[in-house]
Amino acid sequence: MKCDLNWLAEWVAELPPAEELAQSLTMAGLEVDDHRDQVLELELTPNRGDCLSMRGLAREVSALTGAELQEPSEPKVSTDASADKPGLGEIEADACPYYSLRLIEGINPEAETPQWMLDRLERSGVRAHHLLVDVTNYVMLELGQPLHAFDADAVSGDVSVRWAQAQEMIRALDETQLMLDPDMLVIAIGEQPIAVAGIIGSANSAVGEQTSRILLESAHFAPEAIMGRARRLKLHTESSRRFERGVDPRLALHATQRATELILEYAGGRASEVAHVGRLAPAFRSDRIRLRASRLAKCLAVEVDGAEVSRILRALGCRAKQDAGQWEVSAPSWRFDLEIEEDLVEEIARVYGYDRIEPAPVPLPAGWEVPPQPGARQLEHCQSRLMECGYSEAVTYSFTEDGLEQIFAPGSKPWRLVNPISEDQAVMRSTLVPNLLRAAQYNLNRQQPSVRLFETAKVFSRDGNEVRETWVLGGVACGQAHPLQWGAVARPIDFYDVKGDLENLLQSWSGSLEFSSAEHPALHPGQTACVSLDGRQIGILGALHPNLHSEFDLGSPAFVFELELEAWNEFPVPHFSAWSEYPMVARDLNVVVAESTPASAVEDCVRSLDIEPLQEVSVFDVYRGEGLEPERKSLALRLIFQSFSGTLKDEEVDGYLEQVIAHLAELWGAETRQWAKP
Amino acid sequence: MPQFESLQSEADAAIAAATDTTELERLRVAYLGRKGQVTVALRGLKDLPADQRPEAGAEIQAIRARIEQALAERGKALAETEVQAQVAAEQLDVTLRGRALPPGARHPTILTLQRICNWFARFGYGVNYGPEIEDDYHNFEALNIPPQHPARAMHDTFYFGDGRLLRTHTSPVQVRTMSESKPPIRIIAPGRVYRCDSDPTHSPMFHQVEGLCIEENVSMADLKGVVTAFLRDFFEDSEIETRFRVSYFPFTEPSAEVDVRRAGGDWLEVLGCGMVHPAVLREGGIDPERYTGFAFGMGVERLAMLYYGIHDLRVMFANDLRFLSQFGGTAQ
Repeated sequence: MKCDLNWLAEWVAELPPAEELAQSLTMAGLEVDDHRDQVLELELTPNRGDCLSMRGLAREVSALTGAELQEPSEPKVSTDASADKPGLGEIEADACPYYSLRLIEGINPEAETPQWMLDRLERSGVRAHHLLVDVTNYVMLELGQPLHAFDADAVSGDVSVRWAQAQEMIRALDETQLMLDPDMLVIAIGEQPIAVAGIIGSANSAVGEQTSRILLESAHFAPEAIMGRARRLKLHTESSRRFERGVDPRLALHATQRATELILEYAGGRASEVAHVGRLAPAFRSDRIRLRASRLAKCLAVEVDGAEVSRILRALGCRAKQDAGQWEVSAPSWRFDLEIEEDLVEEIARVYGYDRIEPAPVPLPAGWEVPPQPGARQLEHCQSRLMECGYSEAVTYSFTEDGLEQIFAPGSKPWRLVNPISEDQAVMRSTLVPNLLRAAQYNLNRQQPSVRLFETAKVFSRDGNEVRETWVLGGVACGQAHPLQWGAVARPIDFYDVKGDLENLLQSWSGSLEFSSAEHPALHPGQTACVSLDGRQIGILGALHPNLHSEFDLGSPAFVFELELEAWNEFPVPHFSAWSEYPMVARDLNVVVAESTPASAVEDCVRSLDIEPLQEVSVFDVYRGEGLEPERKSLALRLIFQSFSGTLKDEEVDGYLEQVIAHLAELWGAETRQWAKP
Repeated sequence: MPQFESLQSEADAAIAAATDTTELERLRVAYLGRKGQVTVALRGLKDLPADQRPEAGAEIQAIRARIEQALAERGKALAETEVQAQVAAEQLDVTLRGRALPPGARHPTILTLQRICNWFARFGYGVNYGPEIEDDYHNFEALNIPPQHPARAMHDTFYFGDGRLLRTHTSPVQVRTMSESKPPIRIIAPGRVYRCDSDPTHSPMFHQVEGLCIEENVSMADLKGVVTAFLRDFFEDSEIETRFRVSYFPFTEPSAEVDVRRAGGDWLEVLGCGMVHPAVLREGGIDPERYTGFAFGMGVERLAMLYYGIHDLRVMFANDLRFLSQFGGTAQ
């Protein structure tokens, strides 16, 4: 809202300079964004509908600065007793406690809006139309009461205020066709709606360049009857903005008089008596609010002097009776936001000044434990370990394209937004992978030679009709395995790079980590592994299916992984284990097995022998080709023996090797021979 | 004895002529080894007449000592030369780049989120995440925002059509915490929030941290104390100015917006806060006469942007490596 300070100066004696005024209003809850050229640009919060006028702002300024409020004299209107009073029909009393119309006839349609009024409208950011509309706008800006003028020649019959019928149509002033809901209030003549109450008038009852007879409407609509309707109609008007926040229910007649005064002065004409239904509200709201000095002190931790409290309450227009450490307060008719004790506490605090409340030292927790943060250590572990492995942390949107969701989680029935920003953000994701791939694509398109990204976030799925939100860790890696490096051959990231990263991440978790061949519709059927920790499946790793390379505009393979964080968030305390001081003995074996035999099966076969001094077994090379039958491969296996009870003798180790060789032959048909001792 | 003298001079000459440590080792074996000339000569002592033995023995021992010394001296000189040669041959261009995989970097939003959580943890604030898919009750009604309330206009909400919605702020965690636990309560609620709004200064998804403290006799002075101390530490600026401006949130009363100003700068809005509205306390099953509380909420992206000097909100969601690579390290 714009506030013309030259205009405001008529209402407040000794208005402070613009900058100072802007400062005190801002601190007191009426944020001033700008104060150039003697115009304040105010950002009002929804609770302060009472400040949407010169009069309201003047009251506020007076209360805050102590400057005297100068109420103008009552408008003077001489009515024409012979003129017909407009006819009024049924009025919905709860929604509209006061409704009034006045007929003004003999208006000069050629009368022009005076320059001073045009200037004020312009400085208030309101567009000029013609005199009749300008006057209603002017009075609204001055007093806060929205008014409406109907062309009296277009409106004949008794005017009523009723609820709209379902799907009732009205063509609004701005020519848009509105379809109304039954909880919207209309002004009507019989069946015919002539305005959506408090929001906008109809086009066919609108005043125009030729209008010489008007019905001037001034009413009080209850905020509850207006709230939310303009939003639903996508039609925010100056009138709806005021009514839904609350217009002073005492003001309607005063505003009629003021508008009539201005119309008669500048366009002539004769005014009828005011026809009205209902009553204007009393000066003070009926609910008494108790304000205890003790509550004030408890909430603010300052002792505000009792006389100061009384002064502030009165300055705000309240009626306050002080009695034994408390006040019985009646809020003025225009303050809809003063309902409970805390509302008054805020009023006292804001006029007294928030800045006069001294910050208290921050107490350390006492008497209760800080609950451990679930998964916090695990989260930090993931973040720092993956960072060390070259991954950068991403933050991608929680929503994704439905099509991608279907590809990466077929049949997932994702949670679908009714009003997404766009189709590619239409469903809540059940996996982080598609958006991470999009982020990788974004970077590759910007000439990054390699991309490694990870993200920790929630994914969303259905559990019957319930929402399941699960914390997961997702990652993507593609492009060059390492930066261009002298003395090293450039090569792309492959499956085992990423697998190694996950091993780095997970191996410090005490527990057995396993990767086993798996399938996923979006992943390469030969390069996908299920990740298990202690026999429990915690996630998946794989190469993006080549079918999907074009979807993400990828020139080379991309590897993705996703791990459920909750499946392993118990961060184990490392447990010390002793080591042997006796020498290690390493022996290498060549194990020729069928191509289909997984390397892990060969290792497991050796481990299953439970050879006590066997510390480690690992496949360190794979050979295929010359010297081997087709469909056979040779695995180089290193075994490390070490005893806790003494130095191992060659004969002992040879004995173990014989067991190993025999077992491999039995289980996997392996032909095994020993390498030269390393 | 003459044969010993010639042994001595031969050895001296050969040792002096040796050009590498391998040759020198061969000479050591040739003179001092088991079949070496000195060893043989010593062994030959027994063939000498008994009266000559002591003199000859002493002479050979002296020769042996001198050869050992010569070998050692020559050996040292040769070893030095050889190391010098090795060093000369092993010159590297130390300006060539090292061979490491460069580490990745952290996202400034998440780093900031962790810094905030870590600060509050020191003062006993536990973490409560709360769901991101919420319902109207927790996101609005329990927070004193009834269906038609104009404050809803400040929250452009994503809906699922079944009464569920994406939380527009982290404040619903307040309600959930109150209904699940009893005072004293100190929690913060970090996480993603959503508004149906997308332009250069608005993202449909962003992060907030909500804080809630409910105890007996908690006042606005405590609220000011916590917020002021946090902002001073967050910006690592003991001179930072803070101001509490009156504001309006349906779920706090009194309410305030907090601005900060650093030396020579403008006031910047960073946080909203207030005393928990009695209606919200009651909704959470807490007696507002006995307990008071304060709550605060801050936008993590905004704080991160101020802290790191980032000017474009969109870059916070683009995951551009040129951006991310600027933020290494971990949260303090």
